[in-house]
Amino acid sequence: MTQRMNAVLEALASNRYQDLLDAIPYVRHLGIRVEGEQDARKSTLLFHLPFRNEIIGNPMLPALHGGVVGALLETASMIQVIASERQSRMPRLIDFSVDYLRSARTKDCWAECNVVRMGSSIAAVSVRCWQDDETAPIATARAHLLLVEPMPQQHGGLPMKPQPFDI
Amino acid sequence: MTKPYHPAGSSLEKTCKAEPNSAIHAARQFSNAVPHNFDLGMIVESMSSTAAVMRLPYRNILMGDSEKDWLYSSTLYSLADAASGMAVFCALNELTSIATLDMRIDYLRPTPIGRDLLANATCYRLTRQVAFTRCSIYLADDDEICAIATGTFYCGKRSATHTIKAKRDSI
Repeated sequence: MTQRMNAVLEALASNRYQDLLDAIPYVRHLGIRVEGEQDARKSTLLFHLPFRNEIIGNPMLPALHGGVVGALLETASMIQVIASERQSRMPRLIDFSVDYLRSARTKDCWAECNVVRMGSSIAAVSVRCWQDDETAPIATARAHLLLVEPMPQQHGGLPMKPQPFDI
Repeated sequence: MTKPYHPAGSSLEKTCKAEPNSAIHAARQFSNAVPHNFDLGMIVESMSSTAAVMRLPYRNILMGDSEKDWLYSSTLYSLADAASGMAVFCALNELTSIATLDMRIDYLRPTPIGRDLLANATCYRLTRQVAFTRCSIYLADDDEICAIATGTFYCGKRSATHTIKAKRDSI
């Protein structure tokens, strides 16, 4: 068990999902927050992307960058799988598909996941993103994630590390 | 209430008038005027009548984890989204407002950090109102593809009416 793995498990044990988000430089840069961590065991996590000028993709409308909305939904799917799994296995994204339903205005975004299936090695997740009105989503997405068993450091083959946030 | 963000030079027409003979220069200026493209450091590398190549120079901010040797997947997604949109602009040959309808990415392999990423996006089919794109992402010095993205865009209110047909050997 590596130091990194311990940090992940510690964060899980105390429901500090923000620590997992902050460990990813791009996610920290975007400023994605996880809200309502105290209820994480019972419910799905709520993810929050605060608006900043740097996340605009169309300055003329203006509208948010499709990549940023994608990054929020992708990150949400990964962290939600970690939260639902509650073991040492870590998700790696296989594929990710976003439907853009409405123009993303220059406002805060929110996202919530539904873990559709947690299989023995694959997780299927659907994600929803909205701004002012939760009943009027601006985007939906689905993701397939591979659940990777972390390999011990002393494994005879390749020197593999646990890979919590790899693709 | 958030103030709309309008960086200087965001107008395409202004850009094209200033550099009438340099489409690539205009495209770079246009891309730089997109705040998040500029924020991540994306650069338009080359263009053709239906395709665009965008480069994402390596920075530590793109890492998947502060202790890991892989890029974070969403940075590839953002690059694919930007490059695919740029390919649609190339195919349209005008800077009309377009909207992404759908973008799907397959992560074919983990992408090592430390090297620039290139995204090669093609608009292989253009109808009057819809554009279809494909984009492959790979490391600048490596021929193994890291991710493939396919997208559809709505581009309904454009002035020109030319279309592009998908031919069996072109994709």
